[in-house]
Amino acid sequence: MKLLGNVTENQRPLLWLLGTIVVLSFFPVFIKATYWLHISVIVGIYIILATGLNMLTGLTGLLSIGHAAFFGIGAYASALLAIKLNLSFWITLPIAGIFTGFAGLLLSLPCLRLKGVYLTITTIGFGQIIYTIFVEWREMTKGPMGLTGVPSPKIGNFVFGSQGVYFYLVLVFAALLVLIAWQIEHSVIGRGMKSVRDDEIAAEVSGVDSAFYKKFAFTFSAVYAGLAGSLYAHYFRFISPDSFGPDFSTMVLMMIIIGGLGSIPGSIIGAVIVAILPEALRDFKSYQMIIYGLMLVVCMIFLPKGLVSVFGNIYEKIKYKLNGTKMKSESTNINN
Amino acid sequence: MGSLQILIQQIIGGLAIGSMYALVALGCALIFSGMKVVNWAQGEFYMIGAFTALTAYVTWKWPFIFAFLFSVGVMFIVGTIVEKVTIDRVRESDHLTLLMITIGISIFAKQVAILIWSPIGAVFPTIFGDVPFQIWGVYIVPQNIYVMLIGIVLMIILYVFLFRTKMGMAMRAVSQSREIAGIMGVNTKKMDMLTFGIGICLAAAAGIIMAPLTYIEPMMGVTVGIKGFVAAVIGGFGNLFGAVLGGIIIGIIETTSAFFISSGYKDAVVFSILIVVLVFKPQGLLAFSKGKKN
Repeated sequence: MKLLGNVTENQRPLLWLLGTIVVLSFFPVFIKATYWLHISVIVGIYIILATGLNMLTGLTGLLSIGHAAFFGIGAYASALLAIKLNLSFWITLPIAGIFTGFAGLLLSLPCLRLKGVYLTITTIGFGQIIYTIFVEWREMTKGPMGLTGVPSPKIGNFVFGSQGVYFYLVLVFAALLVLIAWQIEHSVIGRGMKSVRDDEIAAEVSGVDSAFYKKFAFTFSAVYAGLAGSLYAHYFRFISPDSFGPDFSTMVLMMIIIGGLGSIPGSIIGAVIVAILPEALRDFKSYQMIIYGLMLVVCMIFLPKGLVSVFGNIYEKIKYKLNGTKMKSESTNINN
Repeated sequence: MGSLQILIQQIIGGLAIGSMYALVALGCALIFSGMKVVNWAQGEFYMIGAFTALTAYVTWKWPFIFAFLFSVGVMFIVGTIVEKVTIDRVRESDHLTLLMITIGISIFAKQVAILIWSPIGAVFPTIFGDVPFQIWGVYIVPQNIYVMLIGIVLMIILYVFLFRTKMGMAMRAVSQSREIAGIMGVNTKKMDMLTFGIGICLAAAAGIIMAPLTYIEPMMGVTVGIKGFVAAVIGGFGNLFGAVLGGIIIGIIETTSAFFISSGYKDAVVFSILIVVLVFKPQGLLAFSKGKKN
């Protein structure tokens, strides 16, 4: 890692991130097909969602299968504010995030008392309650018909209307949010969350306030889902309850597990795979989703630790081959 | 007609739906206690069971009882094969991996059903009659009574199998301690296949007896599967009697709230009550009878 020799451990992800943004920002220049730009916008939104859920399920060990509810709350809050109050995207987005954060905090309160499947069932129940409200509160949400005419974001006269332009917006948000999640994972809070996951009693004994970390994890991942929902609503400009049902909750969970639980790169890989795989299988027509389900099962059987474990192993091997001797000397230095 | 009669009618309807949920939940609880797997595909097997019976009953014109047995038998075989090729290979993984595998199975199963039976769905003809008869001012639909009776019969068969036969004892032994059961000469792999097969059979049976009361379509399993899982959990996960109790409670809450509050919001009511119950009894309703905390 001579290239990054002068950079401290904390600044490294920032550089990676800037590099990724720079590389990815050329994407719309080369790829003109709106179809693939559309897919990459969705990938960006999924990355935000998966990163958020990863903080809750991967780092804190609280399995949630109701994440579509937060995504939906964010989307509906944002869309309703924009339609009914004519607020601009730059106001609806943070409000949607804060509002969803409160919903997450609210859900965390009963969850503090619960463990394992009981906690999971509460998140599933929450998902169902919110889904039912989306369908039934017709005066507000227009029920199964959905909300139409959500305005596109704009700055002055510049409208983020086309896929190519929206791509940059999502890219910036996704990169920023991933960076924040990364920093939190490697901070005191992240270590606190991991300690709650690994052994809650031991963590409590060591003075870790597990209730705080659980509340924080729920709120944090809800805010992420809310922001993703807001971006989703202003991109599609149409939302209906179908997008926020139990199937979507399992899909978000799928992203973080396929990628690798508890790892931010894993969440990103998982989000990319879950978004792109159905499109790549489009040639199989009606067998598309069958193969998708099969691949999921096969992937879990052969890679129970997620795809990131494969990349991780390769990376470790290359690193070892490149500077195997150097690593040895470094470690002796530390010991001395 | 007084409101008491209406309430009784709703409760009878709730008992019918509840015994269906109880069967799905029993399957869930059986699989969880025996194999430590949360089976997310339970609802899909409920749906495929109903469709298989529909094919046998309507297309091939078999008598209902044969269609029922055929479908349950097919689902048993499917269940054992699914267990053998998927879960058995990753026995040692954590429960999230196993959950993910069952989610994959549920996606697969839904799409296969769409391919075979079309996404539109079908109407299952009435078997037990849907003309209500009246007793003391209460209108009762015969179907509801039959659903309840078949549910009870199946539960009794399961009880006898689990608590009165050697194989059932072996299954319970595996659920208590896999290692010790293995040492004592129980073939744990075979028991896993059997457990999964029976768990899925129960879901399929619930699907078949419920099919004449509802319209059947490939997506119908999603909510039923979730509610079956919920029923299994509120009774105290892994506790078979709790699963039956949980199923019946959910059925009754669902029909009464549909009538007295709103049919659209019934799911929200069911799950709100569930969350409140869990806050006050975090280990499930029958947790006290288990003696140890998990």
